[in-house]
Amino acid sequence: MSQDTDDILREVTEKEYAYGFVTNIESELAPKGLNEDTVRFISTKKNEPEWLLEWRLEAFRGWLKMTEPTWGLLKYPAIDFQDAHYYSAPKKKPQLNSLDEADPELIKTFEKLGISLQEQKRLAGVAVDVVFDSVSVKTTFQATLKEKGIIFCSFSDAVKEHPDLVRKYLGTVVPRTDNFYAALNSAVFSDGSFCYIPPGVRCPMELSTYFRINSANTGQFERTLLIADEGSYESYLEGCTAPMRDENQLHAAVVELVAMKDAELKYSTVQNWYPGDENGVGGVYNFVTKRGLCLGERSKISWTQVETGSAITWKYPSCVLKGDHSIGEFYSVALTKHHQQADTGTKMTHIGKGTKSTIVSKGISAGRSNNSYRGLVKIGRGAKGARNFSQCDSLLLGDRCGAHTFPYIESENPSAMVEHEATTSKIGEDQIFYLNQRGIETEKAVSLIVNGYCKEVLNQLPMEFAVEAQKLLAVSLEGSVG
Amino acid sequence: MMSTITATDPKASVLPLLEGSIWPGAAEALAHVYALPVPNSRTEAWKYTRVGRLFNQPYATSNGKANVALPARLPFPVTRVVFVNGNFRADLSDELKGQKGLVIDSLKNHLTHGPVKEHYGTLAAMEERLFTAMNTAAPTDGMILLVTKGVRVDKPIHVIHITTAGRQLVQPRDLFMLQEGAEAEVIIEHLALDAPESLVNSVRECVVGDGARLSIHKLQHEVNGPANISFEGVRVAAKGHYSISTTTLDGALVRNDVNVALAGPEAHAELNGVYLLNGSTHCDNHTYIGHDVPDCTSDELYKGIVAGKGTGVFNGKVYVKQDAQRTRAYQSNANILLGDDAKVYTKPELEIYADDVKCSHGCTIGRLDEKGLFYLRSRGVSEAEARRMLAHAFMTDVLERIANEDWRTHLASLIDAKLETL
Repeated sequence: MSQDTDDILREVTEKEYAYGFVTNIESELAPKGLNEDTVRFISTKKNEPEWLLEWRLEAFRGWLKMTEPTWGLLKYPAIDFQDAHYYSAPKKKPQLNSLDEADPELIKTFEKLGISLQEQKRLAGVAVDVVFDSVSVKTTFQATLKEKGIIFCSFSDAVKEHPDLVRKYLGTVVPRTDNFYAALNSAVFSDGSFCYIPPGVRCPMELSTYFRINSANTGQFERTLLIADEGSYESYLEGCTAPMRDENQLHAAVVELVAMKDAELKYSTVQNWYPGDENGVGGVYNFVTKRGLCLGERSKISWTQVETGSAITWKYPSCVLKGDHSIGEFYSVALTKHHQQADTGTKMTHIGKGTKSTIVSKGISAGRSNNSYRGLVKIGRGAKGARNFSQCDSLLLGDRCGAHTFPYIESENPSAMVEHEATTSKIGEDQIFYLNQRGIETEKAVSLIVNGYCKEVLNQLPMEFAVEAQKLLAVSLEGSVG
Repeated sequence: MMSTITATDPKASVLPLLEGSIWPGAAEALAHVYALPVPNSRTEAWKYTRVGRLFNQPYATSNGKANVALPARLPFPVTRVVFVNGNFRADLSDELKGQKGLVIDSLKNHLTHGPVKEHYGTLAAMEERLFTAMNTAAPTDGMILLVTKGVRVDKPIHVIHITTAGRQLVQPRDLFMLQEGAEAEVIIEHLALDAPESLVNSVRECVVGDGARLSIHKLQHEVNGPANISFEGVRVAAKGHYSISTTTLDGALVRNDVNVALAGPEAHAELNGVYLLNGSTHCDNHTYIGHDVPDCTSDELYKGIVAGKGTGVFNGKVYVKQDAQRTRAYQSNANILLGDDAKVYTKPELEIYADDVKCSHGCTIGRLDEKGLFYLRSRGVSEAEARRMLAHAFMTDVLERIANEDWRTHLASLIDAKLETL
């Protein structure tokens, strides 16, 4: 690559995290460490019913017997699970009727992130369930949703107000014993979002949760449960940014989606946790279990993710295609720079007849980062006529980074069709030259090319989110290469 | 440590046969065998291939003197080398002394010779590999192929490995060395005479010198055959060229590991494979291509049709080291499933640490093209015939990569005969 491009790439690599500020809100912390008492503490703090405490404790006991998974292509020092707070709540717990009453500091934080609630409200169509550290602060548009019979609230409220629904579905998609981090989450999850769309309802607006890790040394363990009943439709947005911290913060979320007959769920994520500085110091460890269950016939679950943050990303949003003719989709852009490491991908498990899945994964590596796609497509014996197409591309910016692909493909049905393809390359000098020739400077040229490369995925995002994601990519690659 | 055989060690069934070998590095390898566990479903490299049962029975030492009837000679000139249960049989082989600058012989007789001492054991690192360690601990025998600088071997070498009845542990160990600019072509055929309970565990090391060319054609059609586990360790120097085509038509449990290091600029590796599986044949092809230096190329194409209760496994890894710029690597695996009990597990991997590369892989699992079938049937071709034609066409591009026309024609006829039975 030319000197020019090299310079730009260096700038990219050296770009500091723009969202690294700390909001000084007094928080209430659980004592450091993890044992049954911690679990009880969390449960008591949240005034949880007995059954949920028991559920947590059982998860915790299971977790004690489990070992951390090491199969990811990730290198990090051993995590001391005793050296973290497992609960952190803003002390001034606001009971607000309007945004004006909210803590001004808090509002400022969101403004800096570019998602001021007013803005969001004004744009209309987006109801925000804000999770600040662990506690949901404000849920907007409740009334509008209520009219349609849609339940959209924080997880804790759901436990109080809709215990039957929570009890029926909690842990059915991601069981407590699923994996080490899911078990940990099940034991100590703090809060999260809950949503239920009744039969035949098309949710009139995009639902959104903005996650943010704030207090130092807090692990964040949110738990999201979305249920789309027969023939309903919902699009859900999740955005994450975390302030700059030197110590690594642990984040282990669980997201469960259930789609009944003819229902459709679309889950979009923009993840921008603090990635650590250019020397690989600090950053969020993101170990997330996300899974959707297409339970009914012709149901559909679609995951879209733009991952630009976290020092470590370990995340495999998956679909279990149980209903006949159900559809699973996974669209992903993962960008790593500095010393970031991402091991991400999806699992598509085809069980029902005529099930279909599509995987499009675009990885971009820069600096000294490593970016891996790891995926599983499994066609069960009964998945007659199942169909999968996977496309996994990697783009390398710089000669010290790595791009890897580990697809597992298993077929046990002769009528199924599975296709997988992957490519790895850098931006061609001829492409840059072509754009330079037309008066576009190298920086913009790279930005254009990267944007075009990701277009297939970005197109899947709802409009407001796509704009944000594009901005994030540009900022992340900033020097900016884009 | 040697005396620690306990009743609970699952390897107890093979350990007695591995003691006391005088081959280089045998003692160290034996210690390795003791230390390594038997791979199970949690061992990533053996995720889809169960080998535990191979250790559930006692084995006998291989019988090198067994009487065998040799198959008809190939319909073109070759130098034939015969191994029975891993033992070299001069009486059944052609005259091997002839061409200048060429050594073909039993490896056992050459263990103290310079080039053997230099290269033996350097390309089959034991690491976590129990079977490689077992082989290194007590090889039966094998073939040495040494082609000196600039020599072109005048005709293909046809190596026949026959396994006969009896629960034998057979551990062939080959060492092929091609010096600068040398060229050789080797056909390796595995046959079995009613030996379903034996275990053939081979290791072959190939050193391909600067600008040298080595082509290997491996044919596995062991009807009622033993478990056949093999490891090929290859190093290709600058501008060297290594190719292997592996054809699996029959067998019980077949595992082929091909591990290639492209160690000099402009080295090239080509790996091709065909597997046609029915009955309960389990065939697992594992390949690893290490692009260690810049400007190397590799090309990999594996195709299989899996019918009956067959299982096809493919795991290909392309590893591009940091600074191995201008690497070009291509990898493809295509499968057709016929039959409700057939299974395919495939995992094509790329691990890349250099940026100026063009690497791609693709893999497919599917069925015979319905439209193609309909087209043929609408033109009066019977369904069975139409299926055979499509299956034949599916395999064509792998066969076309075989440069030796005589061998290709012969192989095509074997493949067509096998297709009749699917």
